[in-house]
Amino acid sequence: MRSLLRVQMGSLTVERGDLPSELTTLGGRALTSTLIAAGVPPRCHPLSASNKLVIAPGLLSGTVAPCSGRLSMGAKSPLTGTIKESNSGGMAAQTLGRLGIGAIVVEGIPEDPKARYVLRIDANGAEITAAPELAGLGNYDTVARLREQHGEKVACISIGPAGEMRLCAASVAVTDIEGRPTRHAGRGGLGAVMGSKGLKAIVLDAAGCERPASHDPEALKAASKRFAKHLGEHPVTGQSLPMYGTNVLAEVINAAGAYPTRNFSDGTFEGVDAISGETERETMIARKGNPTHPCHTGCTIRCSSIYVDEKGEYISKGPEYETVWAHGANCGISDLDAIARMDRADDDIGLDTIEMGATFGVAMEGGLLAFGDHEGVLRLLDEVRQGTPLGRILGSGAAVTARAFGVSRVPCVKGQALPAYDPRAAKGIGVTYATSTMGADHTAGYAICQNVLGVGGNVDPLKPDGQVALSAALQQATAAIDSTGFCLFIAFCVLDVPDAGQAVVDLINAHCGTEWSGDDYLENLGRATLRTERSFNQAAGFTAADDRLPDFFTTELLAPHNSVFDVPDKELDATHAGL
Amino acid sequence: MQDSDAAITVAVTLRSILRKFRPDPKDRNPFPVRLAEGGTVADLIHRLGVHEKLAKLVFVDHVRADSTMELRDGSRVDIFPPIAGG
Repeated sequence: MRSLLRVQMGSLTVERGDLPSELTTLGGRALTSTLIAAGVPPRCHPLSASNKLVIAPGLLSGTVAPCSGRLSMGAKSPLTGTIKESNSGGMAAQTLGRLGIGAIVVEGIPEDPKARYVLRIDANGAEITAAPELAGLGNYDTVARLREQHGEKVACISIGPAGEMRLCAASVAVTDIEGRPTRHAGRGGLGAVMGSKGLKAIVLDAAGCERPASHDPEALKAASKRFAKHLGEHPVTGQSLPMYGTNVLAEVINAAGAYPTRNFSDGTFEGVDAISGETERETMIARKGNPTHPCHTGCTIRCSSIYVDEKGEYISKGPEYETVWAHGANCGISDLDAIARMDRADDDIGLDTIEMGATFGVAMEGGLLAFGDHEGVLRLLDEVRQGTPLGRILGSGAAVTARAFGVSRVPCVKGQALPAYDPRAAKGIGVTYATSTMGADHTAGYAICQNVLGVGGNVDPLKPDGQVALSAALQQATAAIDSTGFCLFIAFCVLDVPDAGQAVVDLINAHCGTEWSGDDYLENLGRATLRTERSFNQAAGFTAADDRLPDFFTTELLAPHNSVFDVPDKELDATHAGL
Repeated sequence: MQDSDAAITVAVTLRSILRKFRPDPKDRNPFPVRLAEGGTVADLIHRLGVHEKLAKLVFVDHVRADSTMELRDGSRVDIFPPIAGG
C-alpha cells in the first residue's frame, strides 16, 4: 500500500497515512489533479494558504519498467489560474517509488513568511526542519549543501530565489543522476507555490528501501523486457534521441517553417544551424562533454546530455530543444555557449526556460534590449536573481512583461507562454495550446508528431481539417501517460508500434493487479483526469472564451507559408466533447 | 553530382545521421544537386544514395513532400531520418 503524506506548513507537522482505496490505481498527473480538485478551492489565490502543492511519482515509478521516472507536481497555478500539472525527470520519482510514497500534499503557509524549511523523507519517516542558511541560495548551492549534510545518494526537490520571491515563472528543480538540479517541473509557476509555503527543498533518502512490490513481478519483468526492446528498436527512441537529444528538432521544425523566431514574427531562423542538435552534439564531443546521458536511473532513451565550455568545465546539462529555441531563435540569438549559460542561470535561479525565453522575446520587441543581445539577457537574468523591480517583472513571465512594456504581440494562452512551434504552421498544436487544461503547453497533446514528424500518421499542418480530432485524442492519451511515470517520449514508439502500447497496459496490470483493457487505461487515467481538470477550471471561472489563441495568430501572416491559425472557434469548442 | 541531361538544380541538406551522405560530411551547408527536368523527390533520394526508409522526412521549400513530388529548379530540399523530440 502506497502512502499519502500530508505536510502542514502552518503547524510544521507531517501526517503519514495510506493512500485512500479509491486512489490506489492512480499516479502522477491523475493523482495530483484528483487531489487538487478534491482539496483546493478553485477560486482561491494560488499563493494563499488554501492552495496545495501535490507531488506524485508515476504509477510505475520505482519499478523496473523502463523510462518510468517522471515526477508530477500539481497545484492551482499562479501563472494561469488553472489547475496545473508539470512533470520532470530526475531521480525524485524513482526515490519516492522506493519509499512507498504515492503522493505528498503540502498544505498551508508558515506563520513567518521569511522562514525557510527543508522536508526530509526517509525509510524512518518524515520531518521538517528550519533552514535559514538556505534562504536566497540558487538551486546549485542549495543542493550542494543538502548533499553535504544528507549524503550524495539523496534526491532533492528544490526552488531557487525565483520561487522564494513567488514569481510566476518559477520552476521546481529535481536533481539528476549526478545530483545536479538540472531537471525541472518548469511550467506554470509551481516554484512560486512551493515558495509561498516556505518550503525550500525536499530531501529524499531511500537507503534501505527496495523497489515497490508488484502484484505479479514475473509479468512485470516480462512486459518490461518487451517494452525496452520496442524502445531500443524504434529509430526515434533507440537512435535519434540518444544520439542528438531533443534539440534534433531545431532543423526539422525550421524546415517546416514552424520555428518561432524573434517573438513569433517569422517561421524560420537564419541562425538555426549554429544552435542545431547536430552542432550541439559536435560541440559536446569536441569538448569532451557527454551527448548521451540518462536523467534518471532506468531511462533507456538517454536524450539528456552534459554541456561543457572550451576548457571542458561543466556549464549546464545540454540545453533542450525548447530552451535552445526560447533563448535562441525566439530572441534572435545564435550563440550556443550563451544559451547554455542562460540555461544554467534559469536552472540555478529556478525559472522555466520556455517562459523566460518568451519573456525576453517580448521584452526585446518592447525595446528593453535588442534582439540578439545575449549579454543583455544574462545581465537581466541576474536582475531576476537579485529581485530588482525590473527583475521581478521579467520573472513574472511573458504576459506581465508585455503589459509592462506595451507589447501587443503576446504569445500566451491563459497567461502561459507558447512553446517552440508556431500554431500558424502546425495547426494541430495550436488546438492543443488553445484547449489544454494547462494553458499553452505542447506536451499536453503533441500534434507535432502527425503535423510534422510523420509519427503516428500524417495530418496536413497547414490546413484546419482534422486538427481538433487529432489534438483531442492526443490530450487524452497524454493525460494517461503523464499518470504512469513514463516519459512522454515513449509515445514516439507507442504511436508506431501497437505492441508497445499493449506493453504499457500490461505493465500497469502486472504492477497494480488491475485487469484493464487499453480503453480502460485511457478512460481511467486519461479521460477521467481531463474531466477532473476541466471541471476545476470551470469552477475557477474559465469558459470556452478562454480556449483561444491570441488574436494575432489569426490575423498576422506567418512567413514562409503566409498562413494564419484558422481552426474555427466552434470546432475548438468541440475539442473535449468526447470526454 | 553531374548529369549531362540535367535541367534543374536543387539545394539539398541532409541532417543528423544522414550526414554521411553529404559530399563532405563535415559541411552542413546546402549543396547543389542537378536533376533532369521532371525529377522527383524519389529520384533525388536515389541519386544521393540514401535508403528511402532513412529519408523519412522531406521538405521542399518548407512543405512536407512525398516521394512522387516533382522538384522545381531552385528549390530547397531538406531531408531528415526519423526524428522526434521536443
